[in-house]
Amino acid sequence: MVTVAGFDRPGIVAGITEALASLNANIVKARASSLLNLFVMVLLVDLAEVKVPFKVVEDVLKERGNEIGVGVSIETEDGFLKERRLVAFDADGTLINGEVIDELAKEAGVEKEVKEITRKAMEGEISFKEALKMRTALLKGLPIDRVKKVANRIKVVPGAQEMISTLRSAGFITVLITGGFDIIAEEVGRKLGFDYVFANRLVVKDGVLTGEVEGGIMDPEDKLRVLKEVAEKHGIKLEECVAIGDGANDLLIIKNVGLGIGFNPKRVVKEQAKALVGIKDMRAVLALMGFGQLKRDIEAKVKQSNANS
Amino acid sequence: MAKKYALIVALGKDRPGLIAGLASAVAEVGGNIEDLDEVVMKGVFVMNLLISLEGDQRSFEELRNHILEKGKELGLRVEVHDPKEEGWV
Repeated sequence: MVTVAGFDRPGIVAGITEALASLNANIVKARASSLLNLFVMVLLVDLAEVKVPFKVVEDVLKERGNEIGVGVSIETEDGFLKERRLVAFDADGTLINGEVIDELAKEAGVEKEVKEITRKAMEGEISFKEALKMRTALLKGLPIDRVKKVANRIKVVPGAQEMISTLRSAGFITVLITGGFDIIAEEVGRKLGFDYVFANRLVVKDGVLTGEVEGGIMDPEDKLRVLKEVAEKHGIKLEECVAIGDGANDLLIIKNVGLGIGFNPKRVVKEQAKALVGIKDMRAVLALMGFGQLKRDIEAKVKQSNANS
Repeated sequence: MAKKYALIVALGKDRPGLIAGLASAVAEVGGNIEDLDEVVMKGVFVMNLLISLEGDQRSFEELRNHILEKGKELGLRVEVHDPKEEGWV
């Protein structure tokens, strides 16, 4: 099952179906529709005559989707018929536009210093944990009121509110897991209506930040660990989970859940995620997850024909 | 410029590349696929397309000719209709 979602424009159907035809894959059912400016297409594809490994099919479609600027998800039959029950989101770069730490640095007047540390971390001169500690230390003395002010002006990506509301009313557990800071993440999580929020805990003393982080620093292993804990608590298996993220920090989660979605992802995530969304609109993610009638229609038909045979 | 619509119905013996062929023909003349429904029934390819087109009657005729040509190449039976002209909408 191939699902495509993106801003509507000529050439999307041609681009994706040409890629499939070049692999000798046959489309046995297709539905596509544009609603407002979002175009969604769901294809049920028979790979029986395809001579290359499944991984190649995935890579070709992801690459093509990337070229024409649409999100693509590729799931095998055992995957797409599985019930999904939990969705985990990364914050910075995924749910939130940009990096919160830069906003906090601006507020604390240490923008340049923080940027320098970020650069070093990006180039691998210092580790992620080290960089986080150093940047947090620079925030020492910043009053909590001003941190909250930053929290209030943080902008979530378009479609985020619609997505969380839709997921919640469909009975999904929603989890925000971030390597960012708790004061910000909790505010964003509360506004959008998340069930759980996990983040690094800033230490506050006498109304100002001490420049320290309490407890461990959230790294990729921790992100996966807290996700597992929440899932277990609700009796949900990892393969019934969806994870959405953009960076190396999210890779472990994305690889371990049933449907890992790279949202405007960095290169490492692009290569490993089952689904990619290259536009800043969470409605595209919703569509890839099967919300909206098209994917449901085709799923129902597959289930029906399975039952008949 | 006004938006025109075209309804395309195509059927024939199924094989890989039919949707790709028709969809690229649509894209080549600047048409946008608004709705698409395809199914394979007993090995027969059946597809409906709703196309929107920025332009006048001439661009519609150009689309129609291009699609019919492409359909012939692909060995499909293809109809291209202007739903307004037919009095269906």
